[in-house]
Amino acid sequence: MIKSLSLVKILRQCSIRSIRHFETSTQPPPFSSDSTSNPISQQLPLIVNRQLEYPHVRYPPLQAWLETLGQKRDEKLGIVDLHPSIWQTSPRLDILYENIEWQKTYKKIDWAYTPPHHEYPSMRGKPWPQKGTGRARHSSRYDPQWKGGYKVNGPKGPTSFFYVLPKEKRIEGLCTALTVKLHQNDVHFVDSFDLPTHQPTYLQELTEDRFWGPSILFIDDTDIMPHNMMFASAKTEGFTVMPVYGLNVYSILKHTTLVLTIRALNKIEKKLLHALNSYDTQKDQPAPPDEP
Amino acid sequence: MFIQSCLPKTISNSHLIISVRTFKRFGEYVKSYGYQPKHYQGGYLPRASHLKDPPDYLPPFIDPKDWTLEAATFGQNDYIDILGDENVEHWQLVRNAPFWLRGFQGNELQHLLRRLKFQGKYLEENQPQRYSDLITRIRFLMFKINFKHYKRPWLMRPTVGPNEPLPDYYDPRSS
Repeated sequence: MIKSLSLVKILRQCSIRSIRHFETSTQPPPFSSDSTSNPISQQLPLIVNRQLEYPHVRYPPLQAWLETLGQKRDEKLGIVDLHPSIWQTSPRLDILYENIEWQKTYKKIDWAYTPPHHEYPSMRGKPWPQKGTGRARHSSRYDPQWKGGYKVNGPKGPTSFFYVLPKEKRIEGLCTALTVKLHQNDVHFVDSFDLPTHQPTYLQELTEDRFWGPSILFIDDTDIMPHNMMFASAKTEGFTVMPVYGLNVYSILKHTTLVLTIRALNKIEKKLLHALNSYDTQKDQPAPPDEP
Repeated sequence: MFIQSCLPKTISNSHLIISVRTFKRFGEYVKSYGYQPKHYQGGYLPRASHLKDPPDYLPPFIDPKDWTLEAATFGQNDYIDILGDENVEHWQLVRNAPFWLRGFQGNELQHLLRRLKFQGKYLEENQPQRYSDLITRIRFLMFKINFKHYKRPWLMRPTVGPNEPLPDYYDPRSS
């Protein structure tokens, strides 16, 4: 297994303040001689110590680069361990499809309404006598064969298509979407969303240089984001910022790249692994209140 | 003498050639000499303003706008049950539904009965026409479903009430 380094000692010399939230080990650093002044340019890529819960029986943890948004130059800060149950599942495309269809339809309300025959003005009275006139025989002016007449089996009223997909399918959909994105090189891990300027051109040029795609989904662990990040993403088309609880399969597939912070990654893994490895029976969602 | 027609030619694969007999007068071929047409031979007429015949326009182009805030954050909180607060229920996330259809799905009759349950009293007093429409539609559907369409008795399964025990076997001869 890969030996872990103590980050605190080495990164104290760095100007990056947001990596203090990582979990660190207490072992002595074997590569402490490399930590000289100007560490960003000289130090080797580090290995971030992330302890994974419920380690997988067969597969070792995956590894991905840890990057920054604090500077334009693409320098990797370290390597991140990823849990294979989430990031290396066999992709179930049918469950992905079910997730997307569910997200599209369960909030849909069809407001189309064609009034039935009893809601039309006057149904009594023949327009002209049965015989005598050379015209066709009719009983009322608003029959369906007339122009402006009622429709027989048309849509009636607001209809809802509400249903809830089972929890296991939603979890599997999330894991599939994340594996697919990772193995297509569309996921990037970042220490935090602290930008040096509020100018949106900074972030746009940064993402263009790194080929991060026209649309990016930034995910942080809390609702509250730094001001620079919010300003830059609000002014550019295609950049959306979300907290962890807003993550969903539709948005993952709509945006070309995903950018996660380490704190968000910790939270996601914790929640998903707890859901994957727990034997709780599915708590049937209590129905909405029947009382008017 | 026969010449080929000066009529407007249509694009066709037939080898039909239309020939018209004419005569030459002052260097030009003339057709129907002396004929004075009585129908209008000018150009297009203006649209009659006294008639209710407005022009039929194409529908206005609605730009899809894939990256408005609403479209970019579509489906944002659908997995909040797993990734966030466990107590949030999905019927609370449906915002554009009428209040009697939040978290409900069914056929038309079930929709109407639910609406009656939630809004019947209010409609009876404040919107009597709508109330009348609602109950007539319910009555029509109940009649149609229960009496109108012939049900094949050899395909109907025996129904059991909520408190009765289930039978041990299913006799297909039972009506």
